[in-house]
Amino acid sequence: MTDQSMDPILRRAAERAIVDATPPTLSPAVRAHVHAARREDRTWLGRRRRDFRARLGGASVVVGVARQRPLLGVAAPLLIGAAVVGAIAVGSQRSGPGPDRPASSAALPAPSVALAPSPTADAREASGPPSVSASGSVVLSTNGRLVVVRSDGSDRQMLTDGSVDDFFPAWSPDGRRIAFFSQDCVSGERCPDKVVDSSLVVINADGTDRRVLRTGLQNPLGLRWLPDGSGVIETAFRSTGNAVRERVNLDGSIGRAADDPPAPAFVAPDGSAVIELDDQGRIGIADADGSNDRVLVSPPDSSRVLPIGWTPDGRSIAYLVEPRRLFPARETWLIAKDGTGAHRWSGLPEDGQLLGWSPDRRWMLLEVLNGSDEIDHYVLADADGSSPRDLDPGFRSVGWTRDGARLMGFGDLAGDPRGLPGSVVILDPAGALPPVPIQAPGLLGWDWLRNP
Amino acid sequence: MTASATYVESLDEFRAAMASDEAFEAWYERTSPRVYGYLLTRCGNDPTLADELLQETLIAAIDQRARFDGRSDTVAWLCGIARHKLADHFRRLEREDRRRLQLQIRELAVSGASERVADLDDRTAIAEALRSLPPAQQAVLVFAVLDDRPLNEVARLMRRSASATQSLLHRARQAFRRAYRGEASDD
Repeated sequence: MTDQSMDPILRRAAERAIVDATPPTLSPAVRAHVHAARREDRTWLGRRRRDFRARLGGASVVVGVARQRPLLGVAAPLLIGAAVVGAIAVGSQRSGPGPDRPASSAALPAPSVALAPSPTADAREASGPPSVSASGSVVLSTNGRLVVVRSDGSDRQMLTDGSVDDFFPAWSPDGRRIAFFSQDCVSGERCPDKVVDSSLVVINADGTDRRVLRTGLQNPLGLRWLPDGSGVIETAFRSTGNAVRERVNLDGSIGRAADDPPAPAFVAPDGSAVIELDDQGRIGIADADGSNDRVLVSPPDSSRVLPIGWTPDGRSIAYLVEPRRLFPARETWLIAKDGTGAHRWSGLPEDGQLLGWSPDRRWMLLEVLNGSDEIDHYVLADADGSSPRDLDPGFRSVGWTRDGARLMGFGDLAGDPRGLPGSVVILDPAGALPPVPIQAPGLLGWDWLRNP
Repeated sequence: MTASATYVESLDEFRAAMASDEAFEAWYERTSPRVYGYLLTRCGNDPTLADELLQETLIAAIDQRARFDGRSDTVAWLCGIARHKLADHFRRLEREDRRRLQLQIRELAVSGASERVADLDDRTAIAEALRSLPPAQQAVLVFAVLDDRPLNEVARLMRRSASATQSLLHRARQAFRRAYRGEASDD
């Protein structure tokens, strides 16, 4: 047994010291920081930057707001179109990575809900783990400049020069163009003390042919390309004070934007049904054509529910139950798609909170909180929760590429006072490729393009 | 006062502190003694180091101000941040100074530590003994004993496994007892 006889001595000394301590005077460095914070709070972009820093890594929250009006939260602008905010780093792995990993059985104690086991080794080899062969390019907004870099970290190219502030980039579906917002400010300062309208801009993938498609946008929330690449859906405030979602064609004409499609996590794996969060805070389910809609989960008293998404086997829906108090302890729940068997999902790896599955539903992502209810680190696991591996606690947010081929890890750069992420790590969730670090000070948006 | 009213009060207090220099200075005078005292006792009564960590803590708190929602008392929140700064500090020490500290421990053991303890007041002796330990042992005693954090949380702070942390805590308690009582090391 460990000798704890000295513990009370240690604690007594500590208690007395707290009473007697005389702190130093307030330092100039802290004063300067307070002033900078006050300046940051005065502008929209500054507040976005402040809130982005404070994000707890919100794949679940981001999914939860995807179907709601685009006025909500900070996550919305960084989800729409490209930048799913978050960062994970592959750290120590508890099991070997790679396609020859043995099949893992369902690891979660949910007797009424059985997730499909991870693919067997044979199945993996037959289909090929996509991330091993998939390569791509990442476009980033770093200090107001758009930069493209390959997924192996090579061939970094600057597409815009930072003379204005370009942010929230998104690849066109064919990879030939990049759309983004641009604000006419000195990129290093990010317009600290004035509100300047933004424009919607398109350039070629090599940075040429810069064209302004739309001006007069205030507080841009996000953008996404139309599937056929003919234009962009952008959401931003207008001088009227209202947020508007608008279709902007490549010729500059403006049209009405159709409703956003449901978030991929809300669509059943076989495409037969869709879940959503309705205006009354209930999780509903409907057939893919919108018929047969019914309520699946109603929020309990003094709580709200947030959908996470379909389980990979398509049998159940995972969701969060969040008590309505100032700092709630969220619980992960499961319910079968027919509305039966709702139960709390215990036994998740490290008792983490489920953030969801990768877009290709091959991997599970969780966040683990410390004793102060802050995110301590993230955990990546197989889709059924088996083979969990901790990710580097240095990452403070995580994000999937849209195809699930890569995890993006976001961390700080030492010495950067602005608080935006400054380092990015491109991770192969299968662990077959080494992490690729990329320097990206003042990061404000990114997008991934998979090579054909 | 209801719990929710307390939360709102904490949140309003911090927001008000950010609004002006005078408000921030007043808030600093109210909160810093406890945070500074927390740090001072956990870095071996080194006022320079505690000062440095206090500044880092305040800067981190300002950067992360959007995350504070009043759920805890502001001092408790600041101490939570300070704990992470302490962990960073111990990790730096461990990386950079492990060899030098091992030499210092041997010197302390050889030079008649029992006589030194007799000449110092108790609290100073405790601080000296704590500071004489390797950084990792200091860290685990700070987090597990002084802060009374669960072992899993300490393990995560120190980026070790739970079993390794448990073992480290055992060794740290033994080493602290020897250092405090002026006993020679078993090494």
